[in-house]
Amino acid sequence: MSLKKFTVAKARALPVIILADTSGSMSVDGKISSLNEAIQNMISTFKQESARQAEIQVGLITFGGNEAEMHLPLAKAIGIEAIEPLEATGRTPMGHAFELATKVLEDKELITSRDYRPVIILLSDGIPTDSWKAGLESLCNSERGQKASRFAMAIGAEANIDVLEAFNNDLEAPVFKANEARDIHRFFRAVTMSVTARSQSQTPNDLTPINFDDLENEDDDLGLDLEGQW
Amino acid sequence: MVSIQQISVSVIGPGHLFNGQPNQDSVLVKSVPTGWVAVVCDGMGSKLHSDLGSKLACLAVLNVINKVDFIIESKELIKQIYQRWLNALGDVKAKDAVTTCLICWLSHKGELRTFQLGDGLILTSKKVLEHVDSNDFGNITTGLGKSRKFSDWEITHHQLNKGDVIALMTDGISEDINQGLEMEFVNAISENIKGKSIRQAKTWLKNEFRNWATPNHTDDKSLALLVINK
Repeated sequence: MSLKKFTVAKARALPVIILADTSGSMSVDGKISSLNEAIQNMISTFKQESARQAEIQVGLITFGGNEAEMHLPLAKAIGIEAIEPLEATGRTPMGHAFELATKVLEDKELITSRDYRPVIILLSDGIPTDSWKAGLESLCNSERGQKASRFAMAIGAEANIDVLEAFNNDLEAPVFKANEARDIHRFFRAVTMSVTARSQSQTPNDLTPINFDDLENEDDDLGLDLEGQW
Repeated sequence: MVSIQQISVSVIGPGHLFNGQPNQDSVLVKSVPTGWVAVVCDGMGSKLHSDLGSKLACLAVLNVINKVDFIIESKELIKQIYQRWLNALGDVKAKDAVTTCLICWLSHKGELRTFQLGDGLILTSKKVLEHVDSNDFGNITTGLGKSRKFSDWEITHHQLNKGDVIALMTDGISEDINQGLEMEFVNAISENIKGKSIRQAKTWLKNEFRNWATPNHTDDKSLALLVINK
């Protein structure tokens, strides 16, 4: 008799969700074409990694025009044939993109508790034109949003750094500031390397730093002799 | 005097094999003056000395439980085990040897005390698993070297009867079992090893873990199983 019938037939996934600014200003200086190319390269690399170990998934939310949209629903990288090229037009509804990202994160059938900590990438070259605060707060304060690794990139001097910094939760990787279109490639390469390194790691979730000095209940402390041990 | 059948197995996962790293799990089942003790520990793969951490944790549990009464207060027991582990680490920093720790202590009268810090699963015929919609993600865990709170430990105490089963397993196994089939999985192992010699049973179980059906599985897999003789 085999134990196979008791085991889950689906690999644990490492979800990567991209929130991409596709407002009108992205159409100048080759930004949108660089973004299209960078996303394609990222997915190509993920396809090779997925064939080896962890199953990397990619989802793409765009925000340009009147509202954000799920341009590519979260799917296995290895199964993504091609992505419809992004077009840059209209306003910057970033708040709506945060709402869509929160919905994806909270969908426990889409991202299960056995999956690895998701990565969310935000890139923008402008100022949100909708009421973004509530969306950002609900994403960053949700239980799953807090646990996700959130990276941000500011493209050009017009980007709203405050929003991007509030989104970013990686203390070792502050908001990446891109001055020109080719920096978009650099950012995506760095994120791709980080994700693939995690996917190859035995523990694809980094440990969350904990401040041991900040214990709320003194009676709960085990009172260990920690001399030279921590 | 309680009499049991027992088996313990630990196999290295494909992730560690691929990266040329050692098995970072440890498992131990031993008779002690007060009954039996079973320990399963899963060293955190991202830490330098996790394999040492898990081995020393198993030994720390055995060495402490060998010398104390079954009625020892839980917090005192955990403190002694934790301190013994810290002392055994010597020059190695605790944060470099983080490990989960799952303990089952069975008295001669069939009383069972369980202690769990971090991921993995302790199952008994008397413990019904409750599945909740979790906001966690796989492999975000705590352990010796990370937690210093008594409240991080899940502790149970109940009476077992003849024929009852106790199983401890690392999350490399428990996370890949279909929800609701955990006890059937354990019972299937128990049935399969009946009539086999210890060597045959271990060979069969190791083979099952090495040929695990979940795609892209990477983790080490360790299990201790105790059955109280009828």
